[in-house]
Amino acid sequence: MSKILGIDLGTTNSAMAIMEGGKAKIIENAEGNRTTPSVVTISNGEYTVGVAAKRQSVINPKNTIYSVKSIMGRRFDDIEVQKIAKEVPYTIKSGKNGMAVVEVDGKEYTPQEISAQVLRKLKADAEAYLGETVTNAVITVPAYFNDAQRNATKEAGKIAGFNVDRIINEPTAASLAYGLDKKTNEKIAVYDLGGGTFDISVLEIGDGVFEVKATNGDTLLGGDDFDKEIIIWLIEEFKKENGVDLSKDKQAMQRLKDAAEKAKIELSSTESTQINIPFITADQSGPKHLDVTLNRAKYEQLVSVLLDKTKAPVEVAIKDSGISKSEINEVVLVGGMTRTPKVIEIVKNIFGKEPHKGVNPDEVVAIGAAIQGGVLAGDVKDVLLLDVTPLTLGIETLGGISTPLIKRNTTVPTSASQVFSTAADSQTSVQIHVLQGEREMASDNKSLGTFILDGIPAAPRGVPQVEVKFDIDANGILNVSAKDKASGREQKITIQGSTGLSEEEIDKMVKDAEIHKAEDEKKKTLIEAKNVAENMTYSAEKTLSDAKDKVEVSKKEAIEKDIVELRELVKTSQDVDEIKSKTDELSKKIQEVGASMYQSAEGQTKGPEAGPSEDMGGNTGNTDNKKEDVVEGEVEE
Amino acid sequence: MPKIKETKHECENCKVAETKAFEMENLYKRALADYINLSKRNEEDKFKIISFANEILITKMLGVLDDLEESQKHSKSDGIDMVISKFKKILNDAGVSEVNPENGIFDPISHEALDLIDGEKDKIITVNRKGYLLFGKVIRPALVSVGKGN
Repeated sequence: MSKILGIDLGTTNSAMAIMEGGKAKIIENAEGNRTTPSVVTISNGEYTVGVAAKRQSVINPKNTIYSVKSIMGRRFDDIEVQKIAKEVPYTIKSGKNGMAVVEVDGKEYTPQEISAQVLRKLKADAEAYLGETVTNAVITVPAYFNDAQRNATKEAGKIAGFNVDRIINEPTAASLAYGLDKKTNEKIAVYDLGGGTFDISVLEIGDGVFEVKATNGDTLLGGDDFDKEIIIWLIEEFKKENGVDLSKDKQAMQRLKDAAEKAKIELSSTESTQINIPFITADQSGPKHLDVTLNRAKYEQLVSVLLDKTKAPVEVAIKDSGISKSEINEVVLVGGMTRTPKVIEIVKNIFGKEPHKGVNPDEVVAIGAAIQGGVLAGDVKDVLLLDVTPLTLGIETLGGISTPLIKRNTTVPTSASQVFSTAADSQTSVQIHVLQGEREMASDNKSLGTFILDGIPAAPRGVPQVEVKFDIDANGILNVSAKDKASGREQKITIQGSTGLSEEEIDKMVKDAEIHKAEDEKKKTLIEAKNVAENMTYSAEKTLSDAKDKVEVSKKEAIEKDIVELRELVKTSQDVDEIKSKTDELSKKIQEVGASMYQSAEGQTKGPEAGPSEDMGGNTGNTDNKKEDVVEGEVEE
Repeated sequence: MPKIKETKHECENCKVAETKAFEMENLYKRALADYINLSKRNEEDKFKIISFANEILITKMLGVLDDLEESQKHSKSDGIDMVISKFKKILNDAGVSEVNPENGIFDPISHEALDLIDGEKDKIITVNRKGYLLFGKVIRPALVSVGKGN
């Protein structure tokens, strides 16, 4: 069965998503954008769709059809159709059976034929992205759509070449995107303030079925109205300052429109924004520039009338639903305008609770449609069986550090392995201490178990290679094994239910890690500096013993003194910088010894003038002579 | 005869197990195919991300280039000329090319119509703001006035 495309067929913009690897993902269109304007231009019987249609709307106003969703499946004499007909430059007339149709160049087109062009483009772009034919779709419609409007939407899908598996309500799709279908007997309010329309829906979920209790809204209220308020303000400000009216200058108006939209977006995340348009116009006195600051408070004042317009429909919808505000369990936001802090505040004040956030409000409906498609195709059910590790799993390493092997939120079943080594010369056993948690230090994490791998052949520190492997099966059972690569000796431990923590326990452990992040980092840095210092002392001792009498006695004594001092620091000091600087000092002295050894060797062999090769030179320069990805294990004496 | 019953019972179990195994194999293959396809697309996406990582930044910088060019029209300074050509060279090296379609035919893929003015039909009479492509992709359409054909 091919993939099912989830489509949010919007009044202003449309979006599409698909289930991929168990997750809903927005598909970009051929132009590389995540949403496609629901605009179609018909010229000599040929169609242009999306952003290209929008770009030519000025020169083909009568042939460029937008907001056709508003007349979909409606009769021409419908009040809404009459309202839209007054707003748009193209012709809307009465067609077959009195239904509203669009007339272009003397030819009639049904709204479903026009919408089908948008859907056809989405289909083609999705197929180009997926590299396979897409035949099935789930398409969303507003909750207030009646049977005729739903059938018309389905018909549009058919004309575009889709088998429409299901038509679902936009607020239902948004709720699905937040996983609210898993709740039972809850009441949900969906506040949708998009590019051109405002909708509020009250839903009830019981046994996985959503029931629409009430809807309301305003078909002529959206993001563009907010931009317009900013533009009007900018024109007034400029007029006050310069005495020039920009509203007659089309090019200036275009620049104001771009700047207003940018300012609106910026004010969602900042308290104030600078609107700066140099050379916006010119008069006898020379060029004029627009340079004003718009702060959030002023912006909210400018758009307060628009924001207030959303309050009454919300109250009516709640009243119609027969549910009291306090009974609403979940609030979902849809549409780009719901990023505005004031909108979130209004919604919070009305319902007395935080709305759901996290899914891009422009994309949440398409995401939900894709999830519905996934449920129909069986994708979602299968994927839900896969669990994740709620917390990081790792082992304790030198100095009590917790070294992660499997990071939190990794989907199981999974496995990971890493090679560790010994911390002391002739160490013949290592203790593997299995830990769970997000903290940097082993002692702060939860201990899941320990075991000892012994029988490691005696060797200098850092030489033995012990491979530690973590494997979690689909049931959350963790198997940890440690194997000495030289002797082949192996030990293992099985930990049941490593994922079986309660939500509260997991939350607490994650929060604790966040709270202690800074101090944990500090502790870890100190221990790492001590580990490097200790390594340096061993490396220095080895270099001295290799060099034998090739080192001057005075130099040798100085280095030996440094080694003793550095070891003392490792034991007593808590100062990372002090340990690091002493380590660097010793490292430099050892490098000098190394270099002089090469020089004397060159002098003796009188060989070619080539210097030391990079591989060899790297040895003494590196304070850590372990092999890459070999981490020293906890010492078991 | 209990023995026969037993065999029959076992066979039924076999059938259930077989069906289940078949289902599981199917699911496994689907998951694997999903994963392989996802990896392929990830590779493609990575290439796109690398190529277009600078798109947002570049698009913002284009506004500054517009302002510089506009300022040059008024001040005619050699210094600003040099700054503009240096700026353009950097953009060019990053894969940006200019769309300046004066006297060309209107094409909604790379042009955006600002208004209709006197002049030959569908011909671009004035370029109000230049457009730009990044590796051939339109990152900003040229804003143009188009002839209405009178």
